[in-house]
Amino acid sequence: MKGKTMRALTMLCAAMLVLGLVSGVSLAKRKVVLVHWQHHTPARKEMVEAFAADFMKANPDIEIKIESVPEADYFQKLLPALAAGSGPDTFQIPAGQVLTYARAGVLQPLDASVANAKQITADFVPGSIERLMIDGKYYGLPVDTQTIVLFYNPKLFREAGLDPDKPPQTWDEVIKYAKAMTKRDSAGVTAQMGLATGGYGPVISSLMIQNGAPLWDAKAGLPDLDSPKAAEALQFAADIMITHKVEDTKMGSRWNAFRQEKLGMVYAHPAMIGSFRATVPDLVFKIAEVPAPKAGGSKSTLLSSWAYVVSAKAQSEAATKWVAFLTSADAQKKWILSTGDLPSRKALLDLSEYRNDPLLAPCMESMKKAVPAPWTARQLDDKLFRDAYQLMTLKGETAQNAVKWLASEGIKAEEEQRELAKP
Amino acid sequence: MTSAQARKYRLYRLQRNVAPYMFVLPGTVFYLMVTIIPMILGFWMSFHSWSIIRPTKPWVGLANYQKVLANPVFWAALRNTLVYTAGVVPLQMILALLAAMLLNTEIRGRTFFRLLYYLPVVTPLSIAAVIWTWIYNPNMGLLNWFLRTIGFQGRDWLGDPKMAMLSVIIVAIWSGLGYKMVIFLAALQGIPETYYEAAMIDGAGRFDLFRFITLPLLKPATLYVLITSMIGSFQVFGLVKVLTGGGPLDATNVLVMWIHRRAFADYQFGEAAATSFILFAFILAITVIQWKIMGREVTYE
Amino acid sequence: MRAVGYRRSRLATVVGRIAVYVIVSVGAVVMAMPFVWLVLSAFKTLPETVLFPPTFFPKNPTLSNFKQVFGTIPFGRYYANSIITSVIPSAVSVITCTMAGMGFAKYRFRGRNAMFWIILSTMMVPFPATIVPLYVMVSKVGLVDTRLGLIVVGLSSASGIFLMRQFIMSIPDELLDAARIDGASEFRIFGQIVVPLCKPAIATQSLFTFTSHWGAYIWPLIAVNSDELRTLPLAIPYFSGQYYSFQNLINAASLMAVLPVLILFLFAQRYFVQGITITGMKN
Repeated sequence: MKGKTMRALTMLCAAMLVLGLVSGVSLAKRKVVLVHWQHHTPARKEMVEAFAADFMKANPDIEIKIESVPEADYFQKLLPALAAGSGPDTFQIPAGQVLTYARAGVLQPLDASVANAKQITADFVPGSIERLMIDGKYYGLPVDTQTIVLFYNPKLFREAGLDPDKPPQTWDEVIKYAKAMTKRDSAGVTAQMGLATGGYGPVISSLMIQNGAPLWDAKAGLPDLDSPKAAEALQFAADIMITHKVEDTKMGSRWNAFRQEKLGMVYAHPAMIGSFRATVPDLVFKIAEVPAPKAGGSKSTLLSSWAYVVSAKAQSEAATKWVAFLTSADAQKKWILSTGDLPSRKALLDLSEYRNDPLLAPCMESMKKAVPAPWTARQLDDKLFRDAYQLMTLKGETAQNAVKWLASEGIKAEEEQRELAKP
Repeated sequence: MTSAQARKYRLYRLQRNVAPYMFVLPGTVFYLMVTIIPMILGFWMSFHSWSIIRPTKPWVGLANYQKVLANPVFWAALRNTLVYTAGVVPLQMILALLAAMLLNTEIRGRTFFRLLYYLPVVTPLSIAAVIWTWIYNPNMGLLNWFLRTIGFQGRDWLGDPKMAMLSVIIVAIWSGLGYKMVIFLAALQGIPETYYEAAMIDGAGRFDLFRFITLPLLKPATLYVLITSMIGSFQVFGLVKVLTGGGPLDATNVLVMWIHRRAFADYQFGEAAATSFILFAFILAITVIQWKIMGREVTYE
Repeated sequence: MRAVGYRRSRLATVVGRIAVYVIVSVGAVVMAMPFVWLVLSAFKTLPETVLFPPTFFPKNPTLSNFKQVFGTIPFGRYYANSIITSVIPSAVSVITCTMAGMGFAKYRFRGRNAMFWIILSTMMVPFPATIVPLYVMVSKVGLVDTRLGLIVVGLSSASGIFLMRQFIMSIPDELLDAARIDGASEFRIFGQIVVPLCKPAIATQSLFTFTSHWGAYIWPLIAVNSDELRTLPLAIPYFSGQYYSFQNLINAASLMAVLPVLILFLFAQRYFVQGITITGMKN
């Protein structure tokens, strides 16, 4: 009786051992699963899903699970997940945020055996990776790279007696063109606008960059926005609306106005190419680099980009492989065609297929000149510049006061965020 | 008393004593789990420097509260919130009561009308915002077209810092009216017909009926509507987020909008929590006052 | 109003009735106009939705928006998910809230007021302060990205308890005492007297919880990751973003998302129509 029990027990143990071994083996062979989050557009989602399929075919031991989050709610979803430790393995954050997240310990540097720092520095446009390197290591690779360019409607150009092949080169010229294209009805109600900025933060800061405003005090590590050059640029943006009256918020959304051919020129991200094509496929439009403040002046705009990053808990090698795959030359070629994301790899900017494309060529040129935002505070990405602009257009403040306000708010916001990015 | 009777009586007493707790338990326990515990944790959070992504969350005592109270944006946001509440709550309640009383009469198409009044409640906020943005559009919108037709000047409803809050208030009244109307309707239906009949036999007029029967008997429902709308208005967020995003120039930057921005854009969760609990204290005080004024008579009616 | 016993001239009555119709109709137009616009716009093509001045009636009415919505997202599955995650919490919470309302309205017991005020006060804390702790808790017990995680937050509600308390409060105590004298247990009183008398309130409460769960956005957004569990409101923001906006699809999807709640309203409002006459009150 006792012997029987012993035997049964031994067999049971053996069975469990075998089972354990088998499961151990299968555990070792189990796929690495990477959960990937990014913000959503239909084209981006489709694109990344196709990339994931290709990637999984090439790496059968890695499984990618994609979640596409509406952009307006992206942080609302990401932050609680990070706080609970149930966040994604790879995800995207604005390039300016990489430092904050890395210092908080949420991220890990890219696996050097897959993506080596020297190679990255050599391959990418400096502006697109400047904010991604911390203590000599890269914490992400760029995506969603955008500059500011000028979209214009050749039909409205012709109607106003302007040559659509000669986009405006200077600020004076762009105003002159805009005036020529602006139409009002007998009651003085604007029926067609010449030029619009929408008061959009990146456009305002781009105008300041073009005008040679410093924006950043490298020594203090804080924004430096109270300068005559910055005031001048803000004045230019506000004058489009106040003095020249070629932009009119009463017309509603500038994008809809452009879609309806009731807006001659608009400052925008190249990503609008994809948007216009998807919503109004018949619209004929052209793109030029932004006009310079003066003849021969600067056409450098703000380079805004996001970064694909790897979370601290992710399997390092697999995650880096996936991030590198998403930002490879082949991938970037596909990005630009379907979503209007500019390539950030140097080698791509001069490809003849882009140089000869009338829409893409100016975008590539602008990419070479663009400078990244130096700040960390997300308020500076749009809100504060927009508010400074509105202080002028809605409250009649002077440009000097508006930039003074902008400078002090900017410093406040940046100081607070700098606290978070301390080592 | 026989012992069987005594046992029965004891059982009866027992169930009488236990019943209240049994009634209250399930609702309270569920609630404790998903709301009260997070609320306590949130309160704890408000005493820490909490950036959400940082694992270290040092205790800072009352520093978050001090920072908030010293921030002029907080006071501006509080003012905006008060303006919003004062604009929405009284008018919406009166209109909802009026609608409920009218739609409680024997009129044709009553069901249809009730449905129409309830439509805004079920219309998704994002859609309502799009529609209202169009209505408010200065050149192309219905509203200005209408005003111009009857000889008034149009306005930039959402783009003008002076008008934006009023425009948001109008949409808020529109979107929440049906909800309150339904509560009043249900309360009106709970008033026994016999009361009115008895009063009318005594020769009471229409206004007397309203003043001496309807209003007093609606008190519990009115208290509910008043308190919940106040609580809701002080915490308005979704509507403002989709209509104006708090702008232009923070003209519609209400408190929860600001709290949300501080938390999810600036990573200041400790401060956001502190602001939340300042608002909480404020709402609690106002609710207690309302309760003291209106609640007593209801409770001991 | 009630026709009995009014000593008013016929003319005044007729004028009064006309006035009622006029007021109600004007109100209805204002209330329904945006919704009518939504319905009409759901049949417009994308270019027509961005036209200005806008068209009121669709120029070329089309059903393709609905087809496209069904084509781009698994609408059927989202529907099913929405129904499950709205019906279950609504059904459970209407029971828990009515019971709790009874407890708070009709009994005096130790800690009653404190408990009631604690529950009431939870309504006063803005969501940004509690949503992260709630998420962390739900994640610790492994309910993130599960259906249970969506349901569990809705099994009771402060406003529901408050609403039911207020309604049950207006039921005269005499009614309950009479039943007690007849030897009815408290639960029997609840089931046979209070619940039937509360029908309008219960219908209201069910409608509200259903509407709010059906339209819930923020919690499902953060608590659900996989497509299998997504609910309808989560689908709609996918049709617009910074660079694009498919207004036609938003309209069509919204219309489809709204319909079930409207149908529910039609059912629920029957209960508001049936007036309740409390009998046996006179003595």
